[in-house]
Amino acid sequence: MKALEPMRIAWREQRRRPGRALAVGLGFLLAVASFVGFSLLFRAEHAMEEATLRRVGGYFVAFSPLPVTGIATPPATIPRVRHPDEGFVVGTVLTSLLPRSLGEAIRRSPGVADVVPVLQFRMKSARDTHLFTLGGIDLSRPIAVARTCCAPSEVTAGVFLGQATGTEGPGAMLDNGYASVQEYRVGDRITIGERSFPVTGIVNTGIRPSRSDVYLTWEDAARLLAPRLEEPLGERTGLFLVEVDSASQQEDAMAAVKRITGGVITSYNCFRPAAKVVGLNERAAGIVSVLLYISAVLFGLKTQFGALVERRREFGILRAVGWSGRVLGAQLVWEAVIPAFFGALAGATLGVGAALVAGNQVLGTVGLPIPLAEGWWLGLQGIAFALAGSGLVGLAAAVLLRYSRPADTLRTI
Amino acid sequence: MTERTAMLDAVGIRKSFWRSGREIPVLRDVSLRLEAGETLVITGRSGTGKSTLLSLLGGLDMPDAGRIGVCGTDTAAVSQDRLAELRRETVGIIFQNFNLLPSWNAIENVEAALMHGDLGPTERRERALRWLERLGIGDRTENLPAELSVGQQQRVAVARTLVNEPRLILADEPTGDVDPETGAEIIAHLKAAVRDRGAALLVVTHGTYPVASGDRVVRLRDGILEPAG
Repeated sequence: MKALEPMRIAWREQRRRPGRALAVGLGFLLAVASFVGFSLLFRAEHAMEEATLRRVGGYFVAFSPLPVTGIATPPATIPRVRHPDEGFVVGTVLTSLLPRSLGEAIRRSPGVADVVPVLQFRMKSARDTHLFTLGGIDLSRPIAVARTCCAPSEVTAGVFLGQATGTEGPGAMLDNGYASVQEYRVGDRITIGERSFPVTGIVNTGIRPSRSDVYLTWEDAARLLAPRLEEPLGERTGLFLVEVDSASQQEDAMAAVKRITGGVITSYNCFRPAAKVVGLNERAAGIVSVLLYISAVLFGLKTQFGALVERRREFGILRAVGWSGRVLGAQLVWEAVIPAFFGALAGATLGVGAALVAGNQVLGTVGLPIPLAEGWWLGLQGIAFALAGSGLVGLAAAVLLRYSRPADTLRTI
Repeated sequence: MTERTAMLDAVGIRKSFWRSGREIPVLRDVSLRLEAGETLVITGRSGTGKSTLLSLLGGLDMPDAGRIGVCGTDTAAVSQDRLAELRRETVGIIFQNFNLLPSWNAIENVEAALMHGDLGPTERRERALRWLERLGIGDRTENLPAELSVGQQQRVAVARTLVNEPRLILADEPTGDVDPETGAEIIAHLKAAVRDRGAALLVVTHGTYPVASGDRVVRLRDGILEPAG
């Protein structure tokens, strides 16, 4: 009980001087509210940038081009195709084949979030011998596929590949442009090679590195390609689509994957300025947060020292009637910490609330939620910062008090 | 014959202050001894260092030279916290200007001397109230010092000093700002402490305190104690 006496007296002092307690609490309220609110908005904005970045450049394509010498560099192997106009491609570039097992090694590379093999094959139409690109995609990696190839949200008619419920299997999904030129609609049948597939969906993907004209599942594509190859496809793929964790890690991830495949990496360069923007914002958020914290501590320091100077005589009297510097020091620490705690608590609540309101006004328009869980975590950090800072301030004041003599403040004795 | 204990034993006390780079000697060579149950009155004109001497004897300040023993404790040899403990348990100081805490009410001011001791909150409050009643201001316990008359403030200050039943009482002009009737009551309480509990009482005054009530009277002049004329 005696140990808690300084806390009890400190609490009484808050009630005795409500104006000062309110001023200190208000300072910490504003500091923590700003700290939490700004940090939360910065993080939400950062998430938005990341999301935007993922749509345009948070991924890349790894492949091994077909060598003009006719000799592939391991682990790549040269595919032997039966028709001279056909072959595995990335865009307009003919490629070698890579072991699918490289996918695991790529997935473990730094900065890589996910990887998916894709069969992208340029072939002749059985109908009128026009060339088109067939994409065989592995649907077991829906997120990587969605961000690098085509997404269910981009379906303009029918359903996404693999979601058809008919008895003929997943069918074929067509690119919007190809379907328009070739006059295919959902429900039509398309003949690819020797097989016929129902058109189950049409998708408008926009700019994607592995955009194809016709999409089949990996299994259907592999079966369809078998007679067009002079040797079995086996466990090989034409390219890997690689999803990265963040734009800032893309260069490292690209370098690591290039070492594994020994081939070529293609990507859109928009990740570079975007990565810089993200980096700048992260640094700005960090600096603002640190500045706010320092401001709060300095404010507390100023207020607490102001109180110490103002109450020097009071402390001198208390020491003269038998209060030890240790007890008064503990009281000073409590006096600093109590308003800081309540101010910070209110500030954390206000910060989260303000970020929710402001975030929904600004970021809600692009469909991104404010990370509320992070908000409470930031709030806890803000409270911890406030307690640590005010505790240090109280401690400094206590040390100063301890090294003074009561008579210094009671000169009239 | 009962052996009397030295409650206060000061030898060769010197103290100077520095103002604008110039040394102002206040106490040159002060020695005194005060025993239990004894009253010593130190007289002297204003500015002769009486209050400074009291501050040193109460452990609120340290002398430049000399040794001060309070109830057997050398004040220079112990920590500030130990000195505070000594004041809480053994020494009571009545300040010339009362030194009441302005934002604390009367009973809280008295209770301040009992804080951090062995008493619980209820016992503290009861004892503080008892002393305020004994000094005739039991009906003003909730008033702030600014709401009390000078005489009432002095009574609160005396109550705060005596509430701990100190063995050594250091009083600086205890009747300086009060009417004769109040002054007489305060003197009575101080005398009772000496008589009933065997406390030692040291009073410094420039003339408001009746020197005849002391067992011994000395005068502080030019920083030296001399027999009162």
